[in-house]
Amino acid sequence: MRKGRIFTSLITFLAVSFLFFVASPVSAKATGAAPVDAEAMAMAFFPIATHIGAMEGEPPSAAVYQRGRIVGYFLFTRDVVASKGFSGKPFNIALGLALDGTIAGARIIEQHEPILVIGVSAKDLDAFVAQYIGLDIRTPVKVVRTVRNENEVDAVSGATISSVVLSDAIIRSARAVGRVRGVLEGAAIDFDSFTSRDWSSLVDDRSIVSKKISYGRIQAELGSKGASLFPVGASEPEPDALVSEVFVALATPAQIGRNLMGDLEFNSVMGELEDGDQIIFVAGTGLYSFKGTDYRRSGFFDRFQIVQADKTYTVKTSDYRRIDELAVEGPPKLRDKALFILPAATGFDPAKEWRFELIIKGSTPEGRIASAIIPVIYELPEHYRLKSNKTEKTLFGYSLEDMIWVEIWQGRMVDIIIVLAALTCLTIVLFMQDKITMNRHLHSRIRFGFLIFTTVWLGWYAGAQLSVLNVLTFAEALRTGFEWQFFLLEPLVFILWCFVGLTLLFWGRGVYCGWLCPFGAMQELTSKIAKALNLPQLKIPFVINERLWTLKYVVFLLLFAIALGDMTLAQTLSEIEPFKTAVVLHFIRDWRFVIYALLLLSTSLFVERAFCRYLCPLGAALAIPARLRMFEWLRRRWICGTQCAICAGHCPVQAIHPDGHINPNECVNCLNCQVQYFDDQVCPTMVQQRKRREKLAASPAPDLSKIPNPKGEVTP
Amino acid sequence: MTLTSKTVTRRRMIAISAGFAGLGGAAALNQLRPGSQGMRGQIVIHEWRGIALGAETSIKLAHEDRNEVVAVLSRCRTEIDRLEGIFSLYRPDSEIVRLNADGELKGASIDFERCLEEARRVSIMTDGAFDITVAPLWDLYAQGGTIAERRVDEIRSTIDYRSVHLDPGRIAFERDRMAITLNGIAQGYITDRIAELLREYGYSRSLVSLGEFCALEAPEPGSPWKVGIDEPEMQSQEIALENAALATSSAEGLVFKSSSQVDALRASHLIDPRTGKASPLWEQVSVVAPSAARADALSTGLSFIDKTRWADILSRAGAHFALGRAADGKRFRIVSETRLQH
Repeated sequence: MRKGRIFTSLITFLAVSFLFFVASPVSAKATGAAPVDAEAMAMAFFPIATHIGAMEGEPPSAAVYQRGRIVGYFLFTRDVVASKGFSGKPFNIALGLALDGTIAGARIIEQHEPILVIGVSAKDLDAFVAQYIGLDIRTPVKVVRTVRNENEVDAVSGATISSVVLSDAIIRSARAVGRVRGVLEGAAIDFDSFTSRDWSSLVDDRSIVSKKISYGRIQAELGSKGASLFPVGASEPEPDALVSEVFVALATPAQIGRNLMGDLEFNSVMGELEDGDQIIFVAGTGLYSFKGTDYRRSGFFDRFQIVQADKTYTVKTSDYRRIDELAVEGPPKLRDKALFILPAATGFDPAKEWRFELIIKGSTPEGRIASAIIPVIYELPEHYRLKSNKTEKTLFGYSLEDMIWVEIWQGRMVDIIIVLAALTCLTIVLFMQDKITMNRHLHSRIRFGFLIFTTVWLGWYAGAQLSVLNVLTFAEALRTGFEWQFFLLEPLVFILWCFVGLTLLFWGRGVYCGWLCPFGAMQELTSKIAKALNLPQLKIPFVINERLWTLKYVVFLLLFAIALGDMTLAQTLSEIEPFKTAVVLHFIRDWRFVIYALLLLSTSLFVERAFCRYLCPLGAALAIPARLRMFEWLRRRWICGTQCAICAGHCPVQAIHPDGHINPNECVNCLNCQVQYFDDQVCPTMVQQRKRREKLAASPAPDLSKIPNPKGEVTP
Repeated sequence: MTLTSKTVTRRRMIAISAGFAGLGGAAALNQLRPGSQGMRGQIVIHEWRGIALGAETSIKLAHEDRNEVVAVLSRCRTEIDRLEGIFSLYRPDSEIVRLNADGELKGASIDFERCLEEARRVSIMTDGAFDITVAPLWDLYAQGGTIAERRVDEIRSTIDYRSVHLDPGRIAFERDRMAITLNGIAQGYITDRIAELLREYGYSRSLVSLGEFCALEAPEPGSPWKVGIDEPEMQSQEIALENAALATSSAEGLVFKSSSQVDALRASHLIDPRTGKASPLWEQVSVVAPSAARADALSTGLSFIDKTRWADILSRAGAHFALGRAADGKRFRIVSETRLQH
């Protein structure tokens, strides 16, 4: 009884010390929603800014001005994507989006990230978000453990999911605002690259699109309207004769505009433009002028219009810039050349197809005007598009950009394959448990090997430790709106949970706790060391053992109840699991957490898996649904418990009741009892059979038919 | 609003009958193979059907690549949307609505100008039997109720196509309370533009049916597109179309009713701009011309013109021929004089 009391006080000490951590000043509180001075923040993001406009548009954002000129946009991520943090509660990041599509500033305004509550400070999180400043939002940004390439950011260690969710919120909000504000499309074009090019090379790659207009084509249309291009009586040209050749181009990219106009002219025109304004270059050979002369009086060009999708642009005289001389080499003899400005406010998108529609007017004998319309379709050649602007992929009709998990799964393919292979091996071991446990050495080697794998690879390398947090978050998600995407963010955790779901039905909680839980494996290995060193092992009397079992259910239910009310608090308290410290963060953490984890681990030196047995809320959470278990795999004999309790002594977690039945809620499926079951040196029944066999073997006439089959004695 | 729904009915009737008559009832299929004769290679006729301009619409293309067809059809829909944004009386910021409201419009689109120019030409050819300034009378009839002759006369004074000034960069009404409707022509104009767009994208073998028809080259040489003219209680007439357009105006296509629906004033949607009476001479007029806009406007205008003058008008308009049906059901066909000479 004395030993029991010592252990009870140890547990109490652990619980108290845990509470001490929770209450300690280290625990950063989730930042509450403090009133935010958007203007001050926008000024901080854009040092040149003079004032900020109102929040407007859908999604909402505010233009940031420098003396009437827009220099960027300011937005809150929460307004744009109702992105859910780990806790299922939204967080809010203030973002500055520069006109070149880069992030000008990012600061967390509000968050309820559980992962940040302890261990990872608000400072770490701010540092994470600050990595986005200067990043181009059109390129895919990857959250990685160690930055190697451009457009990668370091995940907050131990908070991968949160990092990915934050990243997603930043990128997606900035893109959504960028799209409606015209920042994205504008910036997706390479406006700046320049190499010297001559006219014919610009025409060849369709930087300049040309169209020949034959007399025949025009006259066919005009003629059907009773009109003619030339006055009646004038000599008619051949149908193939060229009325005009029209050239159109988007002149805003330097590659086109600077080559056409030369540095001086290009710079002077560009200097006039507001950001996002576009310039269209039009030139024509031949007799027909696309400008006409009426525009001087009317204020509008009436011989052409520019069409894009469902918009029609009529160009005002004030948006016309004349060019006297082209700087480009080798242009044809041009009758007319002009630049037309399409202001950004018109919504014209240079990245999309548009057409220049030329009207060729003729007249009827009565002097009435009739016209033929000649569209010239222009699409900016592919090489003017920034390469990072990858085409949007879709899966089942959903945009992959919105399915960040797909990228994550692709990136961790090797890890996923290893985990799936390990789970397959484990399944084989479990299905062949008789064969394996008949061989004590094979079993112990497999077990040892797997525990090493679980601790080192699954735990320390992959960080794939399930936690009661997952259960709480899942319950919260069911309550507030379930999203698969959220759970798919961590591929290994997702796969493990799927596997656990199945094994709960087939075997109970044991498969996870005994084989796949890194901290469980760590405890078992610690215990093995202790035993190898011959440290004294505490044997908890069953009565106490059974009472202590209840503790973990209390812990779990408390957490669950608290989670219903205050998720953040529940998540702070779920630090009762040392998983993050011991597994995810490799014991590199605030010393108090390290001490707590080491204390728990060191209990295993004397009481194997004490944490699993008495405290683990995850174990409790798994044990409850494990009551649905549909199979009994562990073999027992009728004498088990009544005449013999050898197995119980070998059970590392004392899950075998004195009456011989194995408590499935406690069993970790280590199969130790099965090894004893088949051992003809240990199990009394087997010993008896062996002796009988030996006796028969010694006797002159062995009667093989009388050797009982051990399987025949199995009780279900 | 009664007006729109009725218009829809008329358009739909024609569109559906066109599908059935012209393509042997197989119009609902997405892919149609052209008739057995002359079929060669992998050419398949693709059809898109949908609602545009408040009417059931279809575009048929003869082409090899289905994916490409889907892409080009989406451009067509965008183009229809753009043109509706110019011509529709039911879009509050369309150019026609702005012109009617202000009596003046500066910097109008080329499309709007061209459509008005074309309307004016047909007005001249038909001596005002087709006139877009008939809009105030439309409104009067659409409001229903008993309409005093005096009121019609009063409004008639605002009706004159010559009072619409088409200056460069500016369109303006000469008189107060004028308004225009492009119901008799915009449908045709849009049909033409879609056909032109298709040709520009390389789809020279297409048939566009947006209330009116515009056919480009035949799907197979020697077997032109076939469309049907809706004739109630009678078998449809089938007309072969190649590089030509067909438009139809029917007297019974739309009937104005009083808002109370009790004291119904039965009148055609076809109003004679010169008399103000909604009583066309012909039950139905179909015109085949080089463009759908012209065919559309002509078919409206010819509804009020004695058939003895048709041949002359048709030849002046460069149209091919016209089909008429009198109130007694008698049908006739007038071929343009220029056409006869060839």
